[in-house]
Amino acid sequence: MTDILLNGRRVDGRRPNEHRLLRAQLGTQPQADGSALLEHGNSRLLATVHGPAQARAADLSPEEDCVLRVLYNKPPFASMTERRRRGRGDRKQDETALLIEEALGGVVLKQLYRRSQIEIRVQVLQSDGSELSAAINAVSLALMDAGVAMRGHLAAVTVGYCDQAPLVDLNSYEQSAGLPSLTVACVGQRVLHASVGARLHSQQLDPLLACASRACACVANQLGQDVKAHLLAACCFQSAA
Amino acid sequence: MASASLCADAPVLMATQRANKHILLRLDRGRRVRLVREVYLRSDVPCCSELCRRGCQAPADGCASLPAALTHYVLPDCAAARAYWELFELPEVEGVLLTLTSLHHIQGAGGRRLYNRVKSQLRDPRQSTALFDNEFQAECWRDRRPGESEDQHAAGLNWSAARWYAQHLDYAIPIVLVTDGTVEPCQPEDKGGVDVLSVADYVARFHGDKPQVTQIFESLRASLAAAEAASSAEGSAGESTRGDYPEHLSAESLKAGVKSGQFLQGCLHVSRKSGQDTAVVSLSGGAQMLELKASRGEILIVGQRDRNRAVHGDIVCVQLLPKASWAQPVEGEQQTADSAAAPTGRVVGIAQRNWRDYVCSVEPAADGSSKDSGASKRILAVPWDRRVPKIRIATSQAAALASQRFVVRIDAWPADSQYPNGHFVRPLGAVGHLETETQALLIEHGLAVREFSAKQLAELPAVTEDQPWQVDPQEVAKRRDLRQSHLVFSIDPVGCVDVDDTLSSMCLCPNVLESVCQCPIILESVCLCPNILESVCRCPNILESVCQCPNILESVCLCPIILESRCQCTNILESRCQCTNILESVWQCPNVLECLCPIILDSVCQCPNILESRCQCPNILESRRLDNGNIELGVHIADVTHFVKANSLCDIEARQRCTSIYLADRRYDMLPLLLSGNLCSLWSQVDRYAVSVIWELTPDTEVVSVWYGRTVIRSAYKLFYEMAQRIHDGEAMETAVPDIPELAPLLKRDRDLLRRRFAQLREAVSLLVGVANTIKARRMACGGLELEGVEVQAKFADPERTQLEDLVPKAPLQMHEVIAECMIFANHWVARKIVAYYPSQSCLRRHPPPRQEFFDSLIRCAQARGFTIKADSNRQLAESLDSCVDPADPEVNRILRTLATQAMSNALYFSTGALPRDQFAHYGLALDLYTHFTSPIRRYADILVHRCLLAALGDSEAEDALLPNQELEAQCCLMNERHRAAQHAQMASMQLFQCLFFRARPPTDPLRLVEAVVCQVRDSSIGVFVPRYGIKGSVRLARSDGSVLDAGPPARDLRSVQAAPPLAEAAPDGCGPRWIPAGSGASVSRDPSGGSLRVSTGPEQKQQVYSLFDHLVVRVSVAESHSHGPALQLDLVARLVSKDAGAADAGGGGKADLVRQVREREEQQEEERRRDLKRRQGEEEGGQQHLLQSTGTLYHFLLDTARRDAKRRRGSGQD
Repeated sequence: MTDILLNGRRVDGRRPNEHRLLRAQLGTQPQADGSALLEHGNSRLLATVHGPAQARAADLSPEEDCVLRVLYNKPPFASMTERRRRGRGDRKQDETALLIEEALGGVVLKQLYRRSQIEIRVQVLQSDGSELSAAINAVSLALMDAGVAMRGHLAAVTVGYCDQAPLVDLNSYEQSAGLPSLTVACVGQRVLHASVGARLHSQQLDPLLACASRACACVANQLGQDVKAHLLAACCFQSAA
Repeated sequence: MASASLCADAPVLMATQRANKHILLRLDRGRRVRLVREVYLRSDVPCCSELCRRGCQAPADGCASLPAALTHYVLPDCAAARAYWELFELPEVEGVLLTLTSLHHIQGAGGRRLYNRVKSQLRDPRQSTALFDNEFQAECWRDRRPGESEDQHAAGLNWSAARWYAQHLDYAIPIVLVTDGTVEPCQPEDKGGVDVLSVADYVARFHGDKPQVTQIFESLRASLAAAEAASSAEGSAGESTRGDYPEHLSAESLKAGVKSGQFLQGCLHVSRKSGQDTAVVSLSGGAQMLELKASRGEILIVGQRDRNRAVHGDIVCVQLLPKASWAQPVEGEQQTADSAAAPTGRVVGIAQRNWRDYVCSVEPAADGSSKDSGASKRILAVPWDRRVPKIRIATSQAAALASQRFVVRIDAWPADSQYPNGHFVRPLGAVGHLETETQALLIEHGLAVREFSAKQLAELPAVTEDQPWQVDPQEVAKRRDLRQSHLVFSIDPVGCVDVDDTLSSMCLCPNVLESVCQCPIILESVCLCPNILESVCRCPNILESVCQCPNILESVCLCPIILESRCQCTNILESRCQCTNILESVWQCPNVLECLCPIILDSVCQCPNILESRCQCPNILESRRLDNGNIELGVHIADVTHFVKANSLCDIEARQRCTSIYLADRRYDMLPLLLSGNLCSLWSQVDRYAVSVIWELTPDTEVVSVWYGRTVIRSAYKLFYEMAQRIHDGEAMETAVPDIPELAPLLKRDRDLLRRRFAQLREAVSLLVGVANTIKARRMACGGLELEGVEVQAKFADPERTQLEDLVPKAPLQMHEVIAECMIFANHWVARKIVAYYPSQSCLRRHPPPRQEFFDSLIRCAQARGFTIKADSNRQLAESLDSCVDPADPEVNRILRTLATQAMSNALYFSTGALPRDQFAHYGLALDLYTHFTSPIRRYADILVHRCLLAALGDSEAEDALLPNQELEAQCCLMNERHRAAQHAQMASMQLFQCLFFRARPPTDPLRLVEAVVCQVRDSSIGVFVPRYGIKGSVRLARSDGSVLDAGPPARDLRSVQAAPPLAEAAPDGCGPRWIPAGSGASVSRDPSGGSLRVSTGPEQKQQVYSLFDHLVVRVSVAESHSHGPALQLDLVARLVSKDAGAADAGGGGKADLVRQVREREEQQEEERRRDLKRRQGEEEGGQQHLLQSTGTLYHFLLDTARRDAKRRRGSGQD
């Protein structure tokens, strides 16, 4: 499990600063209000959005009158290496769901959706590391597809730290090596979410954060192009119709 | 195609081609997992060749590139790389291009050890081996076809990589694809500029003229074939469950077992003496069970089956056996008389193999059964190290190896094989030759080094005879210039070429010369008079009262042996000459004896005496008086880091070597000779760069301020110790000046100037001595230990210092200690500086306080002679050691000091980030912080400290080069290990010379009979120390067949037994010693207190007692061993009449008896003195040889004889 960096490149041939291939399709699930299929290297996630719809009264509280609910599911077959059966109440998946919910809370304009509920389901089809950031990206696209109003394009990336250099976008091999890692979700320059996996030295935090927010801009740029392509295709389809 | 040539920092999205690679991983328990990994293909993979014309990026940091000036590049195929990697490791095979495909194959199929070796070679810029990431090169990758095996796919990838590479370099250099032939690369018709050769063809065609390459290839091929034959034989025989050994458990279950406490993990140590039978596993930390406390966390392993194929040094997992089957420990060094059964276990698995290169030889066969010399044959090689089992090797040149020593590596040890399998690596030479044995020593201690390569030498500035090196004015501008302002001088041994330290001292107002150095002349006269000194030494009360004066204090601290040899130097020879002490000071005894011991190591290492005697002395001192009455003292150390830049090839080499290695007749430098012998040598009258520490001291030597920094100096005088001492002692100018080359020309020209200069120099030296003495006295008062005895200094025949001509006793001049103290002072203050700036990454040296129980044997021994030793603190220990002086027997003090040093642990380098602050202290020197700063030429630690100091002073370049804590700690471990290995090798080399010397002497040579002192008592033998030759060894009193040695009646002195015949010819009823066979009632038993050994030689005879400090006469002979090299053997010839501890034998005579004995001894000495005088008179016209013996250059004689002998034998071998 050594050799995160050998000969100046990573196990899959990327340089430390290179993000994996990103490809997104929007509106793949017609039965949902919004959906996105995100290919992130070998990771593949499907996010669907149901709503906004009327919320159950029980879910509403005086201070929070728009409910965002995220369901995150990673089936056993999705993993590249281990095949571990997880129960329904899997803490790790619940935690991921909560983290996504938290990040979305800062970007969705909730005041427009009073007394309503937005349900988001994330299905991991294939997992090769950086699932949290991939899920945030997919959810962000699905919300756009559903037409939910947001402050901006939420993009996320996971960076790690190895041999005094930040590694952008860890894959599963790198994640399993236990590197100090940091997942960041940004809207523009604003960091909405940051979570640290493994121990990270305080001296490394600043360069990692800077690197991550720049990578987020890259990701937002790339995914924005996919959204534009989708819109373009939709317009053409409509005008043709 | 995007993402090329982007700034390294900016994150980029990949938009290139992408492929997936299927990998089959083998997990524990034979499970297999198939996983898919992305492969990003690109066109900008660096090709790592200097021939590249297409602007490839340079390879990443720490990766080598292939040089342009080669005849070909060789690209080994997967199987070839795995099976024959040792071939590609050789320095003769250059231009190895390893593909990522082959590397992955090695990782998967070759095991972790091989993979790590390959990686470290790739990282080593000294090797021209490059890694080509062919799998990420878009044109080299292709997906695996359906039905294609993994090996076929890999072969195809390698093949296309070779073709692409040839094309990429425009066919500028031939690419040779070397294949094992197991998988045929799918060869298209177009060969594409690539030659495909089998390994055998490749070796024959390109390296046929290099025996190193062909030999190792043959050996590898033979061992591979043997392994194959064995596996096929096993396959045909079905499951042969013969099983010499139980199978090892898997790594996973070992880990679980260790965690649960079922198994214990530790390092296996095999004893040299009983290597066949028992071994000990010393547990590494962790949870130690209660019952193991008594055995100091050691578990006994009895028998080869329980050892289960573990080799000395392996990390093993052990299961404890039930208490009922615990075994008795073999003759323990610990003196636990109640030999309870020790915890015993068996090895269940091996966590880590620590196999290295072993020097081996073949036992000479009884009959000449080497008929089939051509065919490959399996032979058993016997390792030089007795702790290592025999190794089975397959070789086709068995006959040629018969009388050779050679290097062998172990490959594997299958469970059904009695011995491990290995292969032959290279020959060293014929058994018994000096050169062979020296190489064997180096390899066995892991110190084998290559020559400095041309690339490394090219990094240094070019210096020729006509164009000596000059300082660079730009560089000078950055440094403090001391050339005009300070009087700088160095003090070295005679004949020293490379000086890396200087001092400076200057006296501006000499009248203020007060308290520091009161009246040196009186003090000197005290020192010169042996009677006064001896009485001072014996009477602690007087001592106490005189202690105010640092000079006396300092000379009192020395043991009487030193005083005596000082007496000898000052021509008060007659009175003392006959005693062995003087002769012994000729020998390297204390050096050899104590060089393993921590304190000595430390004070010796820091002390320039030794280092300078070994010819490098990077420190210079200065001291001067300032106008305000304060003193300025400066230590200037050669600025090695100016020439050795971090991560340059020289630096990497030095980091690997860690230390210069000094053997009896040669040395292996850490840095190229140009540096150590010229650029970093602070010769007089030339400008040199230095790193200086300059203190301002009050007249009471309290430090006012310290200045550190880079300087330019010009040493004014290069003094010798003896010369400096003479100047300090007040020798008249007329006699002293002709010996100072810098002043001698003035003698005829300008006497006024000369007088001024000389007075100035004398002031400076005196001031220096005064300051150093005060500093030392202060340190001693804090408990600094002084355990070293006499040192020897090497004398070289030629100025290049290649030929050791002589080893003479270092007359322990005051000057030696002065220099040593200045160096300790500098080291201490540098340590304070760097710790303040880099509290988590400075390299310091610590000496942990010894554990109290280790002093038990010392205290017991001292009690045997009526001394008490308190070891509660270093101060008490130092004081009580000083008081343990037996006027009749100076050996007592020395042996006690030796025991004290044995009780101590080694001083160690460490990184300050790795330990809590309270463990930084140096016990032996009684300093809270200590490091090594003063010898950057011969120790890598000093280079690290120099960089650290310069970084603390704001040098950004040095700051970049600082190692982070973890790397520094790893480097410190390596340095500690290498230092220890170098010391061991030095000792072994000295022993080798002693063996060669004694081997050449006839068996009846009187030199073989020497006096020895008992220094250890074991169960059936006694450990003795031979002061004259500095040999430590054991004398057997009982054989394994049960027979016991009867020493006969004690002799009066050495001369009375010189006529005695050798042991074998002793008459059965003669007065000499004889072996009494078992069964006649003779027995050996150890005293319950452990202080003495009782031999009863039969029912009717009285007992013979051997107790500590008894004097014996032993015969030195050489025990020849074909496989393990010669060793010295000591045989008892006679016991000497005990001098006062003999009271036990005589039945306790009381005071009268003691008086009688003292008188007897006096008479004896008188008689000897007379005889000695007579002998000396005879010698004056007599043979040279005798003169050499008595004037103390016997060592020279020995070395010379040994060398001549070796030469003669070599000569006859060639004939």
